[in-house]
Amino acid sequence: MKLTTLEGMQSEIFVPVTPKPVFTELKKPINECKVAFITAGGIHKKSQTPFNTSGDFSYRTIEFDTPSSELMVTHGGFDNSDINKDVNAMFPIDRLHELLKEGFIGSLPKETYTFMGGGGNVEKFSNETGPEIAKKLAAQGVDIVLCTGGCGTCHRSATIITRCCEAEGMSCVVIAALPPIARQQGAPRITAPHVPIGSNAGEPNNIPMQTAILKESLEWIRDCPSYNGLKILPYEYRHNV
Amino acid sequence: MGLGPSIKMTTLHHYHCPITKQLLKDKELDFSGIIVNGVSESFDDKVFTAQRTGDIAGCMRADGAIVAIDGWGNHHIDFVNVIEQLGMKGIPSIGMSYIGQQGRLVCTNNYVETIVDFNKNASGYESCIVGDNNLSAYDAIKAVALLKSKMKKMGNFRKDLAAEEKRVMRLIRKNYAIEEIRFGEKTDISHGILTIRGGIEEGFVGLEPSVKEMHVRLIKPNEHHQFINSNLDFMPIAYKQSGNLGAGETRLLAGATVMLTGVEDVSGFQPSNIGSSEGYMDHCIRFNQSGTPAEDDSILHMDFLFENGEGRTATGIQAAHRLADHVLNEIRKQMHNIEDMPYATDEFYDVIRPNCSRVVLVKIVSGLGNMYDTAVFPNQPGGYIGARNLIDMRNTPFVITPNQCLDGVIHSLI
Repeated sequence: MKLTTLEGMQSEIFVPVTPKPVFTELKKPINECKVAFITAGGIHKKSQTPFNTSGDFSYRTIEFDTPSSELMVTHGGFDNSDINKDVNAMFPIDRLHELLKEGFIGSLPKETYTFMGGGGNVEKFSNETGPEIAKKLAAQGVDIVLCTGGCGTCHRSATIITRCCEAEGMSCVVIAALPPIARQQGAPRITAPHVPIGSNAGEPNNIPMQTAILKESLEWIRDCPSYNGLKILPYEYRHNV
Repeated sequence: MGLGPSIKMTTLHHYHCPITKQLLKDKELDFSGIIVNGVSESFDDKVFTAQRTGDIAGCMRADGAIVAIDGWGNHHIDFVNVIEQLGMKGIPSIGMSYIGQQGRLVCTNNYVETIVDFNKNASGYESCIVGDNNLSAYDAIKAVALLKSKMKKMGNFRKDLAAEEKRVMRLIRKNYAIEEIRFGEKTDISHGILTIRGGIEEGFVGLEPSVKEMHVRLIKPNEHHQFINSNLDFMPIAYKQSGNLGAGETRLLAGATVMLTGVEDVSGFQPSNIGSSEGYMDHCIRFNQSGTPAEDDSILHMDFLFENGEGRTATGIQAAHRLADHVLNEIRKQMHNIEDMPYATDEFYDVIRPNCSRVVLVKIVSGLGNMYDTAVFPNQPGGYIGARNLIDMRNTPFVITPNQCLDGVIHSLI
């Protein structure tokens, strides 16, 4: 049956089509890997220019030795109160240092990159910001990239950048509060704890939960059999306003 | 309320809901009710509420549905889930959403086929102008026509224009035309003039610790070129003279609209979700939309100075809306006894049209708490005091009548 009735006709409605697969197999044990963490959740240093909440495709550089107390959030797309309590709920920098000390991961790069994916320009993220972040991470010898989104369009932006990193030869996972978005936008691997948007990396100040989400996400990078694999994590947190 | 300033559905928008009005007047449709479905912040709740909305529509024996939303991004998960749940029950639906470029669907499913995109902007990106991408009466006409066409194709469409329609609920809205608002010694309404007691806010502002200052101001139609803080809401000045919301008599001050704006002390933060809407009033409001005042309306402006940090908390935003309602209650007391003014009457009926296709409207509204929430069933039309916040009810969907919608049971919080 011929499906095309008129050449060049376009649907009035943009419907996301899952993009082509991108998958880099992890070839080393996790405890020998250099692990980076990026986020679309609008995290930046208090000394840096805040993101523009109505859409921003720029990124900020965060050194991994930055104390978590010097980080903050600028994002209009979700309730910021959990991150204000504990920035590790979106960007678990303290947990990563603990995993390094414990020997669960091999090392951390000198710096990482954060952005605000809400309402983000898809083309700019795909063609400019994504490749730039991926190159900078690859240049530091990063093996694994973990990523959190924030709101709905953040998950899309997070997935776009994660795909760029995967294409650059790093193995990546999106830790998603909204798994269908990461799935449909073509995240290489996805873990999904039962958390609200805004606390994507686990309940604020709940160190065991944040650690477990990180560890299981790292293990999923190792164990995920193929592109776009989703693992539901058994951790549940409900945000009480 | 909505995500960005340009698409957000204010309390005034729901009060004048163009889709509700369009469905009510279509003689070929049996408009049985509106399902209010809040957007949750966790995925599990999004699935749960969409399933419940599907169940309710099924139990209402809907032949078709219109699904309207004023958000995008994570809100679109609820949107496509509701459309899917309806579709699985054989209920065809028309979606109404802002899409453009910025609001492109982040996920979809096989049931998402027809969407009326109410983007009005050439760029396809949200602007910081309130009402710029408002869902309009034309969008509603288009959606209803598309729904009828879709139901016909699916064999779900039937009409019986000969059958007598049954009126079940009557709502009378008496419109008292206000020509001017001015300050005076005491609050009063007389001969087209609304007088507001000078310093009316002083007795109330102390009730809310998160609000440092509140200023009640009056803006005439020729005074629009002035700076205002980010918009929190537009509200009608309406009073329930008799009956419950959705029935009986409501009195409305026509030609007068309440505008809430705010800013944080110290930080100067302008309360907002995706982009704030502070600026010159004639630049940052698209007048004459269902959710914004008419250009020649007298505006009762309430501006709030939040304590530092409180312009971005649920308690701060709720406090501002509560304070506004306190001020309005003093005006409403005077609305009970207007004797020297003529009025125009609107009559609204919830009608049953036997043997016509049964249609429901699903309003997907914010229920995320903090900066986006919606409250329902206030004590007064379009008010806030007495209302229940959707997040507190975990966004469990429920049904309202068309008349209840037009009598202001939905109150948007930023």
